[in-house]
Amino acid sequence: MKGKKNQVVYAIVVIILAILFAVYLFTISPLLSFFWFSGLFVGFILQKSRFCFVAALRDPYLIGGVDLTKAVLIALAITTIGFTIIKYWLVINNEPLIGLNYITPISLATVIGGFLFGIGMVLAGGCSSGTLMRVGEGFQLQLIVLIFFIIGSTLGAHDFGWWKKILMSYNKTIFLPDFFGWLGALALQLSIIALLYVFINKWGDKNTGKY
Amino acid sequence: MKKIDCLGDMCPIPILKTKKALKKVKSKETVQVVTDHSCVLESMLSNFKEHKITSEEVINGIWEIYITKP
Repeated sequence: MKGKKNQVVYAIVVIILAILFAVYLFTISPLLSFFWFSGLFVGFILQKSRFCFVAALRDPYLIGGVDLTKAVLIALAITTIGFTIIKYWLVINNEPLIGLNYITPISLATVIGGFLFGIGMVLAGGCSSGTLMRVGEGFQLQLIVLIFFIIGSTLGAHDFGWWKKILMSYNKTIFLPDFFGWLGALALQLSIIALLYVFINKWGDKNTGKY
Repeated sequence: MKKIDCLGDMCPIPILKTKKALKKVKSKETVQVVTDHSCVLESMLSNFKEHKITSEEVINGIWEIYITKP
């Protein structure tokens, strides 16, 4: 039963359509076409690299694989440095800091949310980015996941006020540079990531491929 | 050759099934895994580092992976 079709023609058609759509978006707003392309590139890289947050968190326990965990830690380190540069640049130019309203207090809501999402993503076989990427690939099983992902997110957004009221309103918001300075916060976060990397590397040496 | 049918199984089930099968076979023996989950090959490569692994996409979205025990 050999039936592999050549998909190059589809690829060319899709690329042409994507560019045409980008041109259309550009006539509305150049920023929109930038978002369109950055989304497409992130998806492309996710698909080609098989980057998977679920596997990164699950595999060290379950099968002793640590490659993706290392990849996630490296990605976190790069984002930490990148965002520090962007935000520090805003600070020295006296511009308002972006993204500060996304900083929410540490609370039990983080633990409960992490636990629920953790169960969900392992059962569904995909976190948000992984699910979207595999739906794009045509993996129909995860189309079901996507439907419930949308329902779940909507319910979550609907009840967010309640969680905020009972769990999050008592705690103080912590923004690391306020406490340690920009360089100190960067150093602290990078050293925690480095410690995790060393630990997971040792874990991998001990557990990978022992069968 | 032992054949493992992983159609419809999502990660990490194909890896766990393969692990189980590899424990039973002798050295130099090959196990064939059939999967429709695109991430399986990549995780096989990163989890069975000492094994020899070849693969073929036989139909669009169906992969046959051959793993030889060292």
